[in-house]
Amino acid sequence: MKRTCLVLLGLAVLLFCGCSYKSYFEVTKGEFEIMEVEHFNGAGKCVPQQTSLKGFSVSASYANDKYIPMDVSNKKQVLSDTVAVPNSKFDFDYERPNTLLISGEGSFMYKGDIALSGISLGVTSLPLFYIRASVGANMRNVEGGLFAYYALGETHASFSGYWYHPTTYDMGFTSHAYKEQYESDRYARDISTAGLGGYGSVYAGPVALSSSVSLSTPWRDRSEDLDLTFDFPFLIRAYVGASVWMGDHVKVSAGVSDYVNAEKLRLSFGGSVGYWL
Amino acid sequence: MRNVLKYVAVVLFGLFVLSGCAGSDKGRADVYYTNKTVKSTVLVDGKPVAEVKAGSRESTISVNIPKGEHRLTVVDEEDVLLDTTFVIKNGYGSGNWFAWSLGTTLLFSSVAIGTGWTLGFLMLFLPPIIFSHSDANFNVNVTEDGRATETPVIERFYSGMYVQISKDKDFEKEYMNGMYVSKLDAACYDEVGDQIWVEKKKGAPLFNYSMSDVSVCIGSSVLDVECRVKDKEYWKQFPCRPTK
Repeated sequence: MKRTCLVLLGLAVLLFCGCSYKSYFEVTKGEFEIMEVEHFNGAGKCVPQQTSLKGFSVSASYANDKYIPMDVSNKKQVLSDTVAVPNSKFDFDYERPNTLLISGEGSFMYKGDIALSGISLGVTSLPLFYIRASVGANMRNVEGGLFAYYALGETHASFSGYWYHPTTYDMGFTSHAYKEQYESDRYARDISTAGLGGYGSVYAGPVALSSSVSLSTPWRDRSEDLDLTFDFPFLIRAYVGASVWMGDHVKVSAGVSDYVNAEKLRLSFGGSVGYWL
Repeated sequence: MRNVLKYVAVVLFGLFVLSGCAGSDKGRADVYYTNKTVKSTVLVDGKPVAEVKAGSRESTISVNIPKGEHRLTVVDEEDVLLDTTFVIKNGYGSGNWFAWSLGTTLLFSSVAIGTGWTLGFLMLFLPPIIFSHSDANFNVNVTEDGRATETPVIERFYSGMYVQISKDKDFEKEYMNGMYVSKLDAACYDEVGDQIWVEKKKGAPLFNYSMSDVSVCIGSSVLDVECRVKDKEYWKQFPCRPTK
């Protein structure tokens, strides 16, 4: 009786092992849309102590090429003596949704003695929604700090390549490893992206020179879903610009940004207008 | 439908953060209460906010109140033990705002660098725990004769001075030839109550002593000091400053 049970248990284990296997996808070309949020550059002026700033801003940015080529390779995976996913570099592009992007955000910032901290809520033309928090120091002629955001939106992707299926054993039958060609339609997915960065400005009166660097992780939460053999790369974006406060309530800024870890220069030019109370 | 709900959740959370925090005009006052003798009631602007039992060595009462000037009263069944005013200034809630902004920044940073939501949520709540502070602090001490005194904020610190305090069991002590001598972190003289307030260590609750219990010691180390009770004229050099 005991022996019979053990045999049945063994068969059950074999049965379930045969049913589960992992396939891999070798991408030969892929385009993955990203979510961009408005730059954050602090207040752009010395804010009096114990003061709150509430405001709304609209910004636009334009890039003449919406594709951002990145250096990405498939990781080698051996499935059998004759079938293996190669370690191969391929055409990988992050993709801005449009050459022109419009976004708007509402913000609240508060300065204590030195610390300037804030929360913003924004929407872009993708559309995507984001929340951004920031903390920093705001002094007489200089400010700097950190920010981080979380964005949610529907983005698109298309990719082509080969599916690799490993050798499987099921109910006494053996299916040998094989690969098949695959080309996806352009499809939509809800993804979330988190990013973090730092900003700094120097200013004299209402005029400020600002810069910021942000690091985000587009599509990182989707690697497993797609059976991909590579990790989506971080995207590092740098911004340099200037701003002017026109009176106490209106702030105008303009600048240029680039994805510094892309394989090619991808400049985008933008500007924003904000009204603050 | 699920996606719509996600967006709605993000928007609602954002609006909650913006409206809840930005619209807040409340501050927090903490009353640190030492009640040696009588049962008493603490009132803010005439409204009772807490009852403190007799013999409470230390208790804390936190009250959320709008910015502006307010009245703090401590009464027992018959008498007014303390009647004073305090102000919640423009900096109301600033520490909390900074703490939550920092926490949210850490949360999203954690997600961005791939350490995940769990660690992120732990870090979300860490700054509010560390930086949470009140906008007005009171140390109320009900003395043995039923009188309540408001503990002062010591703003002058005297390093390198040693004191010997008799009848003291709480003070940090170093043993020397049968006497207990301590390095003084801070002290001041409360002329109204004719007493000395000392700070055990920076940020710790203050203790009050009669002038005759505190001897000021002169010397280069705790092993080489000469201690003497000082008179009122000496202590008047170090006046206590009120909280208000």
